Amino acid sequence: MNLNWRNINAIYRKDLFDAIKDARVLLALIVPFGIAIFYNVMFDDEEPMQESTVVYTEVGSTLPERLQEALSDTIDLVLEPADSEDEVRQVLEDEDADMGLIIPEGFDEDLMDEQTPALGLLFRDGDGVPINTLSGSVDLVVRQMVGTPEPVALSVEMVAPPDGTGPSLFTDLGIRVYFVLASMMMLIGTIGILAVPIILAEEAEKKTLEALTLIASYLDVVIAKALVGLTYLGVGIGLLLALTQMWPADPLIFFSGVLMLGVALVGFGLLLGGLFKSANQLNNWGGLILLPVIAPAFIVGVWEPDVFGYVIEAIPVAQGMKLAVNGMSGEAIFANIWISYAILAVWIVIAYAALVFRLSRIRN
Amino acid sequence: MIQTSPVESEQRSTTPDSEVMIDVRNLSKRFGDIKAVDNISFTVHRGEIFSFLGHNGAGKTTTIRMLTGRSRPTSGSATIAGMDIVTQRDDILPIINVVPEDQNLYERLTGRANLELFADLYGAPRQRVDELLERVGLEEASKRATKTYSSGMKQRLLIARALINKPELLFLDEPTRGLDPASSKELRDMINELSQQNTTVFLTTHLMEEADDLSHTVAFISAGKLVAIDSPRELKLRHGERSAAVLLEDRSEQVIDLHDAADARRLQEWMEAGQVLAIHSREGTLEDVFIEIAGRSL
Repeated sequence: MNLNWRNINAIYRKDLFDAIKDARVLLALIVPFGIAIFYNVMFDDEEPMQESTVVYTEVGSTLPERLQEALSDTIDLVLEPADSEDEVRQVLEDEDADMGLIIPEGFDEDLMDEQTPALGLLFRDGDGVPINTLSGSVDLVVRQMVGTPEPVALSVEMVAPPDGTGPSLFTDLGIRVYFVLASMMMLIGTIGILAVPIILAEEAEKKTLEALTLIASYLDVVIAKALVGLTYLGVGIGLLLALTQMWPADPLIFFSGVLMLGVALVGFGLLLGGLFKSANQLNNWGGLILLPVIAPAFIVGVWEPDVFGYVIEAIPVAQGMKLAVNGMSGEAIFANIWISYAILAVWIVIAYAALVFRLSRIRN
Repeated sequence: MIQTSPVESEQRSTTPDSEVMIDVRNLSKRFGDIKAVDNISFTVHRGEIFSFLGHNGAGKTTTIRMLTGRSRPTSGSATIAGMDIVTQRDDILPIINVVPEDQNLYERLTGRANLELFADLYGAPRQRVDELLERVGLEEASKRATKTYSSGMKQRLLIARALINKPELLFLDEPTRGLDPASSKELRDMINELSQQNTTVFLTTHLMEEADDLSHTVAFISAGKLVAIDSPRELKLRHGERSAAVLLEDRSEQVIDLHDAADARRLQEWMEAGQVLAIHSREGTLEDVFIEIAGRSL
């Protein structure tokens, strides 16, 4: 199979502008683009802080406010005053608060007089309440109130994060960037698995492929379609980066990941385009095919490693997302990215080997 | 409308060049147990209009697919302009073209853009696009998307597309299907003109009259086998009745056997008496010949 760049160029130029006049192709481009813009507008770059409610006996102590201030960087503490210990207990039983503070009358004064006043901490037996954080912070604040110097300047940092566990991913990247990146992966998926095969399937359905292959080889046609898909991908990702004002901290990792994922998915898309009898048929089934292909982009960072997690890891979009996340943040949020490159490379080899095999059999 | 100079049938009957354009030897194509084309052989000379007739599924399209390099023969060989269809496919493609049965145009593109695409593919100058648009009478419509074209306009654009590389061999698959009588006539004139210019035309059609009117040679294919091949006149003479219908003054029609001496004398008497108004040959039509050979009509 010989390549003819004159043919490839002619078909590429025709498809580049003709294909987007097809509503199915246009939708495949616009929907993920719109979703990315939506996420960009909906979320900001601040890490969402966990909210906790503390109910306390109102005795004029400054402890609740000091506690709120001390935790302001990590927990959004909501203070709710109560008239008595019983009311504090009731509020906790009603699950309207996460922690109760039973502060006796004259707590602040007794503290300053070094009389060791009693302080009761009540916790609700519930989910997600950072008990250690809250109780540890109470101890810290009380020491500050007394004027005891802190024995150490403690800093907390997650070292060698487990592969994409939720908190570190969102802390380092931010929800906005994470979801915009996931939408970019979706865009690559819809271009590769939907738009490109629709372009090819339409050629076969309308029999224009017969006219093209009278002078051009199937390989010329397929390469032209692949280049069209990669051009759409480049323009789409470029526009999204510009509109969301995001720029990868490590462009090499980011763009190599995006390119490898695009090449792999476009390859599979071209295979897919040859399997369906019509572009409409492909469009109808495309959603089903797309779902498992692009879903990993949205869950790869938060899914706990289990059997299903390993399946997700094998899907190229998951690896593309990992490279995009690391490339965008400039940090090793996902460890061992060479595995991501290797998995994408394997998918590329599989896709194009199958494609070449299929093309070699067409004339027989 | 297709603008061509009218070509008389006597001109069409001019002998094609002696140079062989298509040489098919024992060509076969099998799909599993099915023999789509079964050991056919024929030659077509440069400038010849060659009609390939047969039922649906008889093997016409498979033969064309092999000759145009889209399908490999199972056995046998064929050359086009002396080049092997398998080993020299890439050298053959620039000198042939096809007007397909399906109107496979890019419907969202304009007529001009359709032609420009194929001009680029064949490396033809853009000037050729203008020439062809004028030749098929689509200059004014050339800026419209082809989905707005009538069936006849699309067919003319397909013909223009097939001529973009000035092919030495043109395959026409049911070229007048869907055309009105006037457009069909213009297309037939155009085919004759191409033949005059030494372009070889390989035609498939269901219209026997069209094949009879246009062709230097007609080949009948049935169940993958070539069952007859000759000029339309020879086929009709060989397989038709050797008789004539004589219309007399009294409006009666008498049938005479051209081999019978008594009938010859009767004809002489009528003519001497001035009673003959018209004599019609009853040599039969290609349709009759096809039915006789293939067992049923197209």
